Amino acid sequence: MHVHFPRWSTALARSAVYGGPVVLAACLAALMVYVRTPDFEESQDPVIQPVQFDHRHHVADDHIDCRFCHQTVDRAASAGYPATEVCMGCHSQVWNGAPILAQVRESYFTDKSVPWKRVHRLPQFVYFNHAIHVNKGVGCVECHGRVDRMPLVEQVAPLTMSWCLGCHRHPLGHLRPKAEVTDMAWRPKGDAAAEQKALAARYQVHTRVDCTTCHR
Amino acid sequence: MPCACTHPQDDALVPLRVGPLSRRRFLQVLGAAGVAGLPGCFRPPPDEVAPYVHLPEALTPGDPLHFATALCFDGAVTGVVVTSSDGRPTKIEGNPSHPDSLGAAGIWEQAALLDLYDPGRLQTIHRGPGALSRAGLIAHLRAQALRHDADQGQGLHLLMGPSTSPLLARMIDRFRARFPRATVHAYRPVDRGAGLRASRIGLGQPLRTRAHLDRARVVLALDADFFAFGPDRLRLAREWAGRRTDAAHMNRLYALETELGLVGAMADHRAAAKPSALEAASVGLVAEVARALGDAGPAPLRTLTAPRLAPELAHFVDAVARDLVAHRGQVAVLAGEGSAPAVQLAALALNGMLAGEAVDLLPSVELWPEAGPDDLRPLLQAAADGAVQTLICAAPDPALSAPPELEAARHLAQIPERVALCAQRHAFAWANVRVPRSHDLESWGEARASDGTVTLLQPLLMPLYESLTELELLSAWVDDPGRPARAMVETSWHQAFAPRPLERFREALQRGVVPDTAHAPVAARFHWEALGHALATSRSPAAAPGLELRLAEDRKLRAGEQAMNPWLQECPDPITQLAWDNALLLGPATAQALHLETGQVAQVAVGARTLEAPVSIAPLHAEGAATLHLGYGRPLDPGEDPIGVDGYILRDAAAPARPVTATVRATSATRALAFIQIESSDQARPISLGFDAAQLAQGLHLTAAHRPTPARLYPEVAYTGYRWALAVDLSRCTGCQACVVACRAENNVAIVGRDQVMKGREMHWLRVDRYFSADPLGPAVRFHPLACVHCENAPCEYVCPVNATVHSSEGLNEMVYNRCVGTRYCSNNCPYKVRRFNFFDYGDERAPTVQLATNPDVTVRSRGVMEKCSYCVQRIERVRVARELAGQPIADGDVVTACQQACPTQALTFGSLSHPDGRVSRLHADPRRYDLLGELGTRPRTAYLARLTHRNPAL
Amino acid sequence: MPAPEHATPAPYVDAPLIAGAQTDASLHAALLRPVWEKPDRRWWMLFAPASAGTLLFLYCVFLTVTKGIGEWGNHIPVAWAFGIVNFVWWIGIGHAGTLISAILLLFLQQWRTSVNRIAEAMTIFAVACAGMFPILHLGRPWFAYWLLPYPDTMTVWPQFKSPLTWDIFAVSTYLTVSIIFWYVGMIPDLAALRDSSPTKLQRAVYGVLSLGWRGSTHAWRQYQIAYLLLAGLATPLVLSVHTIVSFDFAVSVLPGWHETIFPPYFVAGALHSGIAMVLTLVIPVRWALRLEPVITTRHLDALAKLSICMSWLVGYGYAMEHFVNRYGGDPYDVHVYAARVTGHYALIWAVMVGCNVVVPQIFWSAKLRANPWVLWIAAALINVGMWSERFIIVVTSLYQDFIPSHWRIYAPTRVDLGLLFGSMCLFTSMFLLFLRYLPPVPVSDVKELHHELTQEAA
Repeated sequence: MHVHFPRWSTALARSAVYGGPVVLAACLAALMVYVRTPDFEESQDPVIQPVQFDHRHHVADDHIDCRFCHQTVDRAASAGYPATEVCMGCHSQVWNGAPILAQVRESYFTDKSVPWKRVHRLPQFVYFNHAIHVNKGVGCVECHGRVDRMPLVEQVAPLTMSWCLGCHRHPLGHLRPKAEVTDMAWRPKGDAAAEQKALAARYQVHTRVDCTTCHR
Repeated sequence: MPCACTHPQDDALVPLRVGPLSRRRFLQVLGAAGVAGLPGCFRPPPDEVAPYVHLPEALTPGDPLHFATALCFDGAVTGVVVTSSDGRPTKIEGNPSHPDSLGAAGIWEQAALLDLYDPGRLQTIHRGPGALSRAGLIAHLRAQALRHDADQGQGLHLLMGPSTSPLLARMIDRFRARFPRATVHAYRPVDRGAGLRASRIGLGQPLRTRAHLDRARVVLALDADFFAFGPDRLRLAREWAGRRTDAAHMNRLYALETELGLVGAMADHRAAAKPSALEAASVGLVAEVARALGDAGPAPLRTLTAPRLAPELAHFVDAVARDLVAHRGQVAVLAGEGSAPAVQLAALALNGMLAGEAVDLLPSVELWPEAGPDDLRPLLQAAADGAVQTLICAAPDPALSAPPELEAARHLAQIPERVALCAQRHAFAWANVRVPRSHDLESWGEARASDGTVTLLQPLLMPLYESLTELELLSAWVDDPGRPARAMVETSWHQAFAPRPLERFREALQRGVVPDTAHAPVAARFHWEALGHALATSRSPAAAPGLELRLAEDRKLRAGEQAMNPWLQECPDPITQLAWDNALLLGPATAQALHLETGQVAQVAVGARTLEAPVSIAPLHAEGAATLHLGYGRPLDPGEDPIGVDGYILRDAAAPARPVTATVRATSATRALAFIQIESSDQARPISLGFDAAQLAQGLHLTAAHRPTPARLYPEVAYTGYRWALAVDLSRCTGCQACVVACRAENNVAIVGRDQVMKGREMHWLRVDRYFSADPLGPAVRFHPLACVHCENAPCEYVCPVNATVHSSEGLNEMVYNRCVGTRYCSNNCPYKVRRFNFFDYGDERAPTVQLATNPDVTVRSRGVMEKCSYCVQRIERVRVARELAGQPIADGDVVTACQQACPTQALTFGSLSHPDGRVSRLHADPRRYDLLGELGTRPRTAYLARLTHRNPAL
Repeated sequence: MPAPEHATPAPYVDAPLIAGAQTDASLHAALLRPVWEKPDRRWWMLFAPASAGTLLFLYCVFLTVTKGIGEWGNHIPVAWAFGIVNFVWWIGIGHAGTLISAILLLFLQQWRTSVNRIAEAMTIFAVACAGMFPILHLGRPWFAYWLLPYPDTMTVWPQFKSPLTWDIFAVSTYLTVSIIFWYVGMIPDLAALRDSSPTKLQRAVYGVLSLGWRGSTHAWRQYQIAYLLLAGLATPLVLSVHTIVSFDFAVSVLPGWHETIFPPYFVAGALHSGIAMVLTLVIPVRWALRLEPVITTRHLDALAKLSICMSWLVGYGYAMEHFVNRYGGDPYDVHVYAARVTGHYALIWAVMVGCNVVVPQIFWSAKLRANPWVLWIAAALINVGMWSERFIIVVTSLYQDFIPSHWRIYAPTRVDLGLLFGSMCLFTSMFLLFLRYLPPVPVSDVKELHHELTQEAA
């Protein structure tokens, strides 16, 4: 009975038998890893805006409070994109001739919106409410990161459901006094845990993990 | 109202600003489909945003605003509160401060929202083949007006539709002043004048009877379905239901009708009679009552000879008459708006003899109250004679509803100059200038509620198209062309509101009504002789042998004005359960005699005219008579198949309002009908329980048997927070379908169309089922509103392999659309069969304009996912956030679901069982309460309260 | 089909398992012939329409996935219909394979030897067909992987209370084990094919497939043990799979589904349909491939007897569920079972009882058992009957359940019928390819059996 295959084919067969499952598992693992990368989450990717607006400059240098522009963040679901008139409030005085602001002026006088680009995109079936988070003492920085250090704003949080649930299940680590919500650099002083507890009690913070909290 | 913080007060003046903004926003939305945050079908959101340039005060993007305004239908007006989401009107609800709404809204009011966004609306001004700008139109009309100045309006004709607007009345006066020789006609496809003509005879002046059912112990409906029709149907239903729930003060409702109506279905005793017999019975009632009253009654009526009646009808009349007399002074007798003269006279006479404080007499609020189908003749005659130079038409298209032999379209087309105000793109083909008609939500205006209260209309957005209102059209014919309608309304109240006209006008806008403008009841003397004589003579001539065919208004489309509204088309008729169809309704015996079955096509012949109509056998319909609902037989788009069959072509040109004598014969053809509910019998199953007040004890035993507390294998769940629950009081539910349309509007429930309805894929989250029951203990016709009952042990939940339907900590049975993969196992395992599946991409098939009606708080479901009632969780969450921001808990009555909000009789009550003395908790503790299919151990959070009837032992 | 020369006069009590005077060489030649011979016209006449039907199947799948489940006749209340009926039917058919190859092996039933490979092949193709339906049946099939437990970024897991989640494991395990069992059983024959391959390519392919089998005593011993172990492993699956499929229904609250008798009832039904399908396939195959020497009337006889047994089990199931529900007296249950017999689908109910319970009784006659024609027609009827049973269970329980206002008749659409017919064609083409490229009868086992028999004789 003569040999049909060269000797090395045995090794090949063996490695195929053992290697096959390994490769398969590796592919699956790779997929699972990929959906957890910024590339898939579209985070850590600075968004170029029609008007070169520098948060770093406005927040850090000029010390403008978030709520000056995002006016409805503490009373409505949407934080509110500033109306052009808000920009012009200052820029009719300062830099009122700067070419960089031409589009803003144009918008103001032609009554056409500035087509700002969305940075944080939640799916249509997710209902997020800024006001309730802010009023329960969740700081802007918790989700939006150090905007005061961003020349161009980028999404820092993964915005995945598990990430949301992390906080909704254990809100305690993410609370601060209401007065400090817009403070980018705030750190709890003294006994952090105790203060968190006190805050949670004061703002009646409780875990909310019912599906309809976000999906309706 | 969904958002606790917004009563109309808060933003009365915003519309003046919101208008233009909304217009631009609207165009944006239309352009980049869905920019304004319309929840698309699970699509990623657009990455561009278009913020305001100048943010209007009081407007927070994403937060809805509410405005008080009103909607006019066919000479009636209902005050409404409209929700505006980012400038898009998205929901219409009742205005609590309006006398004809009392906070409720019927199916017509709510569905009117869709008319605003109807892609079939006429969008630009047409002159012949060409288009015309608004300015061009005004100029054109002014030129016409100047031409007619010469002849003082000779040959100038105005054709108006029903209206109650004082403003319009003044406008007409000015029109007459300028053109003294002009003629003003008023037209409406159905006649509503009979009541007033009767009162002319009986009272010497045209007065309407206004019933107060909260004061009536006995209510008699003569051919009157006052739950479904009439300007004050919502109020009457509310007042009637107020006396149905406790055995001690229960009223008793008698119905004498031909076709089974809502009133007949809710009546404690009902007699069905064909139209001629119905007239006879009404007169008979008067005679019986007069005789029973003896000297207490008016002499002329005592001599009235009672017509001969069939024995069971005579028995009914006899018993009712005695009951009426027994409750003299607490009686209300209502006649239908379109009923025959004899019936109107009888109702008037009975009220005169018995009513007491339960009935008032009021002057009519309409400009042309007696306008009817007959009023078209003089105009057509003049047109035929060539005596009409110019016609301005603001009435519903006569060509659609006029009897064929009048050849309305042909005669009208002979008029040299024909200007028509039309809503639909394909209507008024005969006109040479076609002007888009503004929707009420785009209009300023005035109207009078049925009690005379002046109601203000304010626009929620600038007209979407080049449209005009009646007022604006006519303003071109009086001295001030193009004057903004707002100015007209405001100035018309300038004197009345002095010394603070602006503030008071503002307040009036906020409330939607001008306070203290209701008419005072008129104390009128009865002319009994005239009445008696008329009663003796006024009965219709004995019908020729054949079937008496009623060509009646439709409970959904009325006389066809709302035939183009998909929400109404898909909403099932509460009695026939037909959607997207009408049918020839026959009593079972009559159908059998004619060898006709449901779905079979019958040939209906009236004189020379014939019509092929599918038959639907209607239990409890009077034998020897047939009913065909009007307003059908028109296609949504030209080229498509017409929806149903057109009854207008059978109307008698000589007397369009009267029933006709028809010969019906079977054909071999069949036509499948789109029934929402097919099985009509309750199979003697304990689904919709009801029993008589007299048998209360026995009945309560019955309900107790259906309040099980089955054991459960899993550990008990401790509900610590709110425990949301609903209570449905079957004693109050009149089956009017208001909740069904409200649910559809609130929850973006998709329209599936006729074919899909016939395949059993309609999407209503909430249905009002109608059963015919053989149970002697309870009522024969039973309505049963059924939506997800939110079981505490939900069978749907444990079978879903992906956790797409789960239980919330507050007892909601949550449906997570974006997790659903569509195994449909949950629907199989739902004993109540209240889950609906998106077999196709119904949500995305909507026209872009229609998508503007989308409620942004509710996800639009995509293809392949299951959906169902959510207890309006989006409203719960809105209230929760608002309350938590204010640092308060949610109080009883804070959360109002859409169905509850719309219900005219307050049959639905929502709330949290965690409020021990909350309304819903009390209802759940009511002895009439029972759990539907509770024996399965599902522990539904929706409780039903058995229906009480109040039988007359003599019947 | 003409009476084969090996046909034995009926009534025949004890036909041989291997007919005629055979030698290893003759068996070897006879059993490998189908692989080396060019397929004759009959093969193409079957394969051409079957593959055309497979295209129809793919088209219907395309419609369903692109347009939606609306292409089917399903509605509310009948949210499950053809899709699930077909699934359960195919899964049921898939049972005979393991029964014959594993259980009968453990019971030392010699007659299994010649038919087991065909039965196993049938099992695999049937389960493959079945497996497609639950996925097609989803409203959003592209999310089918959500039913698998894996760590996702939503931290949402499947619902382990749901029988559908159990199905995933039951069916996939069954498919895997069946394939391994089938393949391992084939290795010696693959080696035989390799050694007799006329061309280099075939030698290479069969060579790779036979995993370097040399037929050494050592290898044979290992092989026997492995095969027995696999048989032991596969046996419980015969019971588990359809038991779990039956839970899809038994776990619900629906009258007509909520039945404790379902697990055994479903397994019995599954074996009934499986055996019927084996007969439906074996009879023409043995004739076409001239396998009468090794698949004798004795085999058909045994299968027919099994079929009688199953028909009684199934009949008992029918009787019991009707009796228990009438006796229990729950109005909803009573209605559903009455509606099955007298309602809109009464005819299908009659077909079910007739084909599954009445027809098999003809096998009491040894004469008829020995007649391939009768056997084949009866088997085909049983297949129809078993499909009707699943239709009755699924549809008649749904179309008239608790709330009368929602009652509605169900009728399939063209796509529904296309999918059913198409899946049959898919099955047929896969089976034909199997006949073309693999030995339909296990050569080595038959030779072994031949030796055993001759020794017994001696």
